[in-house]
Amino acid sequence: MNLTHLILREITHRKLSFALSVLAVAVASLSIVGADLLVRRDAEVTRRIMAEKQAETEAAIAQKLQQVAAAGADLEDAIRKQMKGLGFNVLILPAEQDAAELHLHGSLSATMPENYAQRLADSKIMTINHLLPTVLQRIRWPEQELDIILYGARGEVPLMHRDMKKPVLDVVRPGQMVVGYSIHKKLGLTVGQPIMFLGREFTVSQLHPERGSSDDVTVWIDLGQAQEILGLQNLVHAILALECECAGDRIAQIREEISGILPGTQVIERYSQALARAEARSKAKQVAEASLASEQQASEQALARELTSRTRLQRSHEQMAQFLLPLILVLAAAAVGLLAYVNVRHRREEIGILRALGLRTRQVLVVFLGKAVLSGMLGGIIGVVTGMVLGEFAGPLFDQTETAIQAGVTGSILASPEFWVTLLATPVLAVMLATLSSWVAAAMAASQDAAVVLQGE
Amino acid sequence: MLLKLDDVSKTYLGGDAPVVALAGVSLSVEAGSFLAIRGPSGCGKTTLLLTAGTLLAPDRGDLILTGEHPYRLNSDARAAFRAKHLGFVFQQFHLVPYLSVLDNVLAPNLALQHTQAAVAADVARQRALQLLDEFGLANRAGHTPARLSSGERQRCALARALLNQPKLLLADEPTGNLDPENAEIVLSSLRNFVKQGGSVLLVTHDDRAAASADQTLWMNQGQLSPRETVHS
Repeated sequence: MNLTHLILREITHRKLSFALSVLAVAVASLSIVGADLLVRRDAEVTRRIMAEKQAETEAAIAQKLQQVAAAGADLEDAIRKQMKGLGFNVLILPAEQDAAELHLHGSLSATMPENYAQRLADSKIMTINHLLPTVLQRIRWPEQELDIILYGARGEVPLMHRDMKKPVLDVVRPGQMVVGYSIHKKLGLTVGQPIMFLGREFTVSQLHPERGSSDDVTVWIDLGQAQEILGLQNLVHAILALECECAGDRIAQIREEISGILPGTQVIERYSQALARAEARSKAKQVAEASLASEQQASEQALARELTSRTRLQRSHEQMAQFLLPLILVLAAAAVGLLAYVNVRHRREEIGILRALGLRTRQVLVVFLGKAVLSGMLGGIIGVVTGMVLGEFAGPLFDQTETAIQAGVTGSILASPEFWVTLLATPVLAVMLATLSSWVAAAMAASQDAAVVLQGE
Repeated sequence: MLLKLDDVSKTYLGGDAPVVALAGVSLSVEAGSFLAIRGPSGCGKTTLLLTAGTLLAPDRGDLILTGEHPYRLNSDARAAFRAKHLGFVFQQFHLVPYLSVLDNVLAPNLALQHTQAAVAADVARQRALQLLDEFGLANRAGHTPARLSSGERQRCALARALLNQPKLLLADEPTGNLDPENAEIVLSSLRNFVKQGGSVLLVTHDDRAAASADQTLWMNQGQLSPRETVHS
């Protein structure tokens, strides 16, 4: 016979009272574990959803990247094919020539020897297909009272080391004149029509259609006649090098070659298909990058929306737990305390006789608090187990996320050391809850005056 | 002198008017004596018994038991003192309902645990079984009090009171709920206890119970009457 035996016998004698205490503590423990599990479930499900969405996004972006790359390659390839065969057009000018003069006025003033074209042709330069020495000056056509650009062209200088290529421009023969659109429109010229130009007679050999450029106000005549008119015998303003070929669109290589042969000149790129090609490729890249960025942005927004939604759900669960958990703990403590008080009331006679038999205050306390400790331990363990089971099976009721994602969530949470702290601490908290809640009743029992009970007879 | 009460008074407050339960009671109980106190209801008999049992401190006066002043001890020391020197028998038996007969008898041994008077569990158990055998309850050792007759319950209570071999047995109407046959068994047991050197202080209405005592005192309005009966 000892106090433990006394406690156990009393528990078996008043099973309902003990069972209700255990139930109250179990509910409190279940709430602690359940709340923690719910919050952890939310976090774990969110993590899984975000991981899944992230993977989906990455796959979609990778696919998009492939599509964009393929589309970009196709576009670039198409442009490359279209541009293939077209070369660079470069203008070789005297070094002192200001290019702005050409751009602003359509004419040039600095000159260089005409034989520069021949020197270039004889130089075995491999990057240039056609050489056109020209003079180019804005002048007054007094017979017609028009300002025009006079373009003296020789057709082409043969490249001696290579087969003669087909001239890229029609040759303007001496005495002939090719007239730009605005001029022949204004003057009402026709092909074959004789016309006076600066005191010389020319025959209109060709009328250009509208080009929307300075060509529309240009008159082309033979280079020699143009040099004579302008007083520039054996001098040219520029050498137009057409269909320059250079792998990789490197204009710099052409400049380097030409400047090595013709010192004191400058090379500017004109009407460059290379630039167009680069721009097209750049544009294709920009379109692809914009498309990709748009896809990434949409994916990030979708992820952010999902995260916001999950965060809202988590917060609502946390708020519910923060509100309900203390309430349940207080109610459970009150229930345990009330049951302990009722128990003490029922056992007044027993307490009185035990005190009369000589049981000390501490022993009476142990009898009552021992029972509370047992109810706390049992309730704590039942609560933890029930909380785990309910968490596994009832968890999805709090979360509408597809069940496939939630499968095995509890198992994942169990792998977390922090959750084990909760699982192990909960029975301890349950014992503390039951003990503290029963303390007042136990103290009442311990301080009960045996004489008062025995006098009741 | 086993027990000596010197001018002990006790007044209950809190009601409509103070109730004087003990009014300057002086009493001596010798070792090996059987003293009965009779009187009408409300005369203060139970108060006297509880005071003598170190359960109810007097307002005034002094009490000496086995040469000590138990009311000068703190609550726990007095409880241990009570467990060692006193035994109680009540009219209502006051058995613990969920303990077996054997465990009820062993209950006083709990009070001695972790004290200098502690008795080994197996020794206490042997003595409890011996007492149950003496009181004809050997075959009831595993039963709960609810399955016992009134006489058996009181015998169980008597066995419990004797477990720690007290010097003084305090009995409050121990035969009040018993038939004559069981009452005689109880009174006979009390007389045997006295014969073995113990002392009994009995409060009762029962003439026959009082007749078992060596001496009977009358009590009225908190005072012991000079009427005294000394039995042969």
